[in-house]
Amino acid sequence: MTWSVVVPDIVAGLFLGAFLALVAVGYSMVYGILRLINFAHGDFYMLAAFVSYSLLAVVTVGTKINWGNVVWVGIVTMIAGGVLAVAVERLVYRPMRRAAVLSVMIAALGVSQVLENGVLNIPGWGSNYLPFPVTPPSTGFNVDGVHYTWTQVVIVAIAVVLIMAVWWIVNRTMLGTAMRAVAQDRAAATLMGINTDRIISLVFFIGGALAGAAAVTSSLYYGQINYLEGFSLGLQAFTAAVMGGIGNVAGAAVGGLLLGILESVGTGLFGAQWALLFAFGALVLTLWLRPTGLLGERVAQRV
Amino acid sequence: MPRESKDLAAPSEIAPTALSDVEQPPASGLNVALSRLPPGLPVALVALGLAAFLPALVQNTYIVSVAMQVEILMCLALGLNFVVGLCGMLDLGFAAFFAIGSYTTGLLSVDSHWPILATMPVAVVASLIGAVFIGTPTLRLRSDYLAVITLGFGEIIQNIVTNLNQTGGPEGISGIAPLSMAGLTITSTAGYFYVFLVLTVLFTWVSYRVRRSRLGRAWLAIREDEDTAHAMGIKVHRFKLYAYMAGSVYGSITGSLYGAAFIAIAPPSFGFSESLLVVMAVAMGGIGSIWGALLGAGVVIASPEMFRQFASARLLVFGFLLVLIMVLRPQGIWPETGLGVERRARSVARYVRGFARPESRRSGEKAP
Amino acid sequence: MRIKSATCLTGVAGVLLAAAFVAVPSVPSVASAATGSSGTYLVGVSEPMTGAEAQAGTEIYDGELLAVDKINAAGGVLGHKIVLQEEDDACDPQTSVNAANKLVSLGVQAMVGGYCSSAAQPAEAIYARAGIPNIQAAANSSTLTEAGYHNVFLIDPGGPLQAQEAVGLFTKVLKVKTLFIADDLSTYAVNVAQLTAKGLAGTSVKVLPIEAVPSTDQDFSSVIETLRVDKATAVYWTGYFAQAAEFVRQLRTDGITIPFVCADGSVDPTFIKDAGAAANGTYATIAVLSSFLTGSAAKAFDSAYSSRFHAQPGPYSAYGYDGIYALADAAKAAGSLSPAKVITALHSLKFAGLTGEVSFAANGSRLGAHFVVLEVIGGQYKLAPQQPPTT
Repeated sequence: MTWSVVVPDIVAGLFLGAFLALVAVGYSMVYGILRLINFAHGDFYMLAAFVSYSLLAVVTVGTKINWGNVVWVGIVTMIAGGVLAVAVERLVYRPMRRAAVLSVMIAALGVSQVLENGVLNIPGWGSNYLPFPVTPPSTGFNVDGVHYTWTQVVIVAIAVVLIMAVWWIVNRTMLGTAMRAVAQDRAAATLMGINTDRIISLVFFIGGALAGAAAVTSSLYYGQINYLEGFSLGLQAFTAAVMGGIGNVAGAAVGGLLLGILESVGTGLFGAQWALLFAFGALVLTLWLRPTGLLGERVAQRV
Repeated sequence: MPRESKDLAAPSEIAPTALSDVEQPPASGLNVALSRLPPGLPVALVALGLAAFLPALVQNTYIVSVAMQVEILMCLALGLNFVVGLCGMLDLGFAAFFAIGSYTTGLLSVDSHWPILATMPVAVVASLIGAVFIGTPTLRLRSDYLAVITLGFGEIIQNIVTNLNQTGGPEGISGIAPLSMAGLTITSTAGYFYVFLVLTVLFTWVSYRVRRSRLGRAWLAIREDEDTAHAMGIKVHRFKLYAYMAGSVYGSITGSLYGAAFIAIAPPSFGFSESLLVVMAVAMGGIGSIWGALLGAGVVIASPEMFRQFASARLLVFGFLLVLIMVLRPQGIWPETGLGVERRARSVARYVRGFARPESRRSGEKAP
Repeated sequence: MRIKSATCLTGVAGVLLAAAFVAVPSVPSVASAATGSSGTYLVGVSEPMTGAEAQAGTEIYDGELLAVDKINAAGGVLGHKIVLQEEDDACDPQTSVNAANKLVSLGVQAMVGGYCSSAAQPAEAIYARAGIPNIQAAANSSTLTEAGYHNVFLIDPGGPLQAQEAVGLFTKVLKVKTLFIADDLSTYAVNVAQLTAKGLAGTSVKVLPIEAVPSTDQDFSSVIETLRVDKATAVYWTGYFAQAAEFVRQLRTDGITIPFVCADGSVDPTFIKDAGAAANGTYATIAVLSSFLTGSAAKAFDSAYSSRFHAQPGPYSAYGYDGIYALADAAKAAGSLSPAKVITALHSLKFAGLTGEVSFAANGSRLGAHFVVLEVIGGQYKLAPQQPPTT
């Protein structure tokens, strides 16, 4: 155990945590509004990554990076992610609105299988680890002997901006108040004249769009995509969302960052194979000390 | 003919209640005796009869092997049914107990050459310790948080057995002795098919008895309304722990025999995917329902096998099937409230009789 | 009365369901006739078709397909055309057992395939009971040969030889001071990592504690930080190509230029594609690849594979190819397709395959394989200019 790795690991963890936070916020919002552990959320991220891959593969010529292309592909991917999420909600979750939550969870598992194996069987996609057509430059700066790239900075900045935008929507607009109302008590919200169906669809759209943003940025950074990458990420995002507090945007973001840092520091101190244990141990500790998550939850108590 | 109390109960499909199979219709003689039997028992006996002759009927090791795996999942599903179904706690890490049972038996069998039957009590004790250790601080949490913690526990157990050399690392343990009792050593697939068949029947019977006991009723009360149960004097936390422990016993016994049947065990079989399979079986079959758990296990194992003709798309088809079943029948295939066959049969009968008496239909009178 | 209506209907439904469950899988999708009658030699292929290892499974299958086509074009095996029957084992013991049972019930005369050792293990017993040759293309854990089955043959030479090559590379060629070894927690990778570390004990190379990185991990920043702090002067990665690409990419982005060596699981065109410029200058230890053998057979394999499957062969495609040829040659030597005779012939088989000379030890492990060091130069795998001395 070398303690000098801790500080660089924290910084590295913040970076990893940025992706987790983006996906965790989407997860948390859906979780908060429907009490549904949407196991398919990670696969929204995965499918968005493949969509952005195909789009960029078509428009990219040569190895010089065209930032304009990246930007519009990113926006299109976010919209695609949102549309996918809404489609799944309308087709699968809405008919099950009155069913037991466990049943909906199993349906979500089914959706996850369909998305993953769908991608597996689409020619041109398949089981391969596909290289992302665009490679960002590695120019950057050095701190303490560790090299950080401008790309990393930009990615973290994008994540921060998006999450803050979502936080602002949820906490400072009428729309957000409606969302929180639906999360708190759906029946009362309907009685108050809120179109709960539309609000729920909107929440799914936002979650899917965030997953799309995470997909483009992480594919850009890691350089490769694979049809199974969504599941593990989804699981981590779920853990982060719970750690931060269900239904709480800021909580999910904090949870994501914290989980990224914990995994990174855990790897540095104990070795990568124990990182997961370290992270889950921290989760158990958090819930033990603060049973409603770090920043508290934003849903009504189930009476 | 006495009115069925089931009609009166009209159970809601969102929160299945236990009322339907506690009340019995009053009558005399054979009817009384037969109606005290669990619903669906005659079907189960027919299925059991078929199963007993399956290896001989079908001379096909592949089918017997799949049937054996169905039985294994049935046993696990019955165990999870205590936790999720009867007590209403969302457990996403059930594979941990399966792992504890398998690895305990594996280690004792390979390292110390214990006979399988002797390792089983040790495995059970180990899993009980695990259940108490994890359950005590966490079961007081609300369902969603419990889900994450149990998920974490499952991942932690898998992580530990993958990383430690003592448990064979990523390669796992191989060379586990076959089950032998009363001088008979079981090595064939058909043999283990029967072993797990016996286990399934035993577990089903115990589940049924437990469910009808005070313990089972306490669990159902906790599931329906925790606060009221507490107000009625049920020590909620302790009973939740009992459910978790009961589930762990089922899981570890199944795990022990699994090791003996497959000779080798490796960490990938004990992860989140495995826990999800068990949850799928319970939820698809019908939460809380014993027959549902058995049926769900059958569907979950048999479908991907039946879809082998689709080659690499077989899990895609399975996914569609899963979504379809849950959207069309969210309460599960055979929920606690019964298959709904009688209600449907009665409404069909009423409709048909309505045609036979056109006058009463016009005048709006209901047929008797 | 409850008993009559409910039970009758459910009883009928239950029996129908049970009948369907029994009937559907027992309809074989391929003619299960034994050898003589339909003139085909049915060979089973159990490999991952779904799951994280699906790509490797496809590569093995495609390699076998190429061999089958060549052999059939030349008249088949003793006049019989080889027909492959593929079944998914999903790299999972339970699924693999089902696949094995399915293949046996379909009447396959041999099994050539297999990628994950943990999946191959329980299936061994089934092939042994059926008495058919069990030729593992890529699975190579020593537990497979230790079980004592007479019908198991491993094409992949496994850890010890590779570790030997790596030791030679680090001590004699690269002359490394401090070595950082990492694996992905899979059986084979751990095996190679541990054997290499053991082989380097007592040499001038200092070996840092082996780092295990789970195969789902994409982010290597803390691992890289660890090796930076420990002042490693070379890296040996024994896992697979996807993570290898990530690892070397992030390593180079962080400005660390120490030599990066990977084991044969990372030798895949995807590694070069995904790592981009970072792949240049990396090394790999691998049993001799087809492209580096002279001779028409190897060139034909590469071009035939590329033109047929529109992709470069993967690290195990050649093993699948050699596996089929081993079976075919053994059958020809035995003069019969009967499994028992083929097994006996396999034990005394010796031929020049794509992966080197193919012959088997008494317990079925591979002999004759020759390991080399490759270097990526200009986006292509080439034989490294300096090879470790052959022991």
